[in-house]
Amino acid sequence: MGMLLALAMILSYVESLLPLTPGIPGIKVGLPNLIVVLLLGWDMQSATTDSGQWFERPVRVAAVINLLRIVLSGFLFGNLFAIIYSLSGAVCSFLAMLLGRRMRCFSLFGISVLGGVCHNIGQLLMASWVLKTQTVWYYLPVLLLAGTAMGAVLGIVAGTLLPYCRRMQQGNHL
Amino acid sequence: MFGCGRMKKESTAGIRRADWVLLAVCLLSAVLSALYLAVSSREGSRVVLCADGAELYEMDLPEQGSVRLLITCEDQQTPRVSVYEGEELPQTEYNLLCAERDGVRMLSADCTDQICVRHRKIKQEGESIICLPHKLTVEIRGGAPAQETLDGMVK
Repeated sequence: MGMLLALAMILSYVESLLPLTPGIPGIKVGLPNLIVVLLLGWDMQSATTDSGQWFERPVRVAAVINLLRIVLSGFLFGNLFAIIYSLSGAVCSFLAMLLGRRMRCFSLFGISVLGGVCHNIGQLLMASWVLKTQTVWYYLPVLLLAGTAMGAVLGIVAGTLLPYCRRMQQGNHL
Repeated sequence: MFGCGRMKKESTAGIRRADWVLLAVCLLSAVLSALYLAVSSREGSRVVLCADGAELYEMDLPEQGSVRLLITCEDQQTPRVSVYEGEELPQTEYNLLCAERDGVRMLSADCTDQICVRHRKIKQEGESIICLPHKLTVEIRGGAPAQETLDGMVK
């Protein structure tokens, strides 16, 4: 679990270095979310395997890692506002992904897309509440598009990584 | 360890119909809302500054040349807006805005994330530049001319 948190922190840092601001704020790859998607995907398949240790509760682990990562990386690379906004986005995205998982008709890909889109909607909600203005909704189309695209990318990456992670665990390398 | 050839292609190939539906819905709503904004938006003629939801200042975009506005804030009090004429930048919280006929952009600011400075120039009605750390929004509006203007009667 500590290793996954460290990995999420590194991904946060890498993301803060990426110059992905083409004149419109809020577009990010959401790299740290890869860990969360991966854990949820793990959880979806774990009914078929005999998972041990803390891997028995991937959803809780994902929630804890998400929270810790935002607070820690917020203090390290950002500020209080960064924490508030990414927290609102993350909570929204996490709940949406849990819901998507519960519905059982989506694969990891769809869940990841759902998470990406809801992350941005959560941030817009928070921004319009903090700033007491509705003008932030002007960004909705481009953020919807970005959330969908990044969610799709992360979903595919996580889906590709998952079998490798499983084999690593079976080989006791995790 | 196991060989890579034995990997099952279960996850990437496991994209289901519901996933495609979701993807389509997301993309469609993005396109529709973008279309709605594109159709309904017009070029604005006024710029309005708001801090923490309260309106601070508004002016018409200048017909020619540019007007630079300095927004400063001391000790969490209500920010002050003044026309900036090339003095030194203040030590306190500030945002420096440049309004021209073809739009408004943030020249510089001492906020932590610099997102407002990197924001592209805004011109369409409803567009805004937002400085989250300073809780400042700069919005373009159209319609009726502003009451309090710098060169309002020149027209």
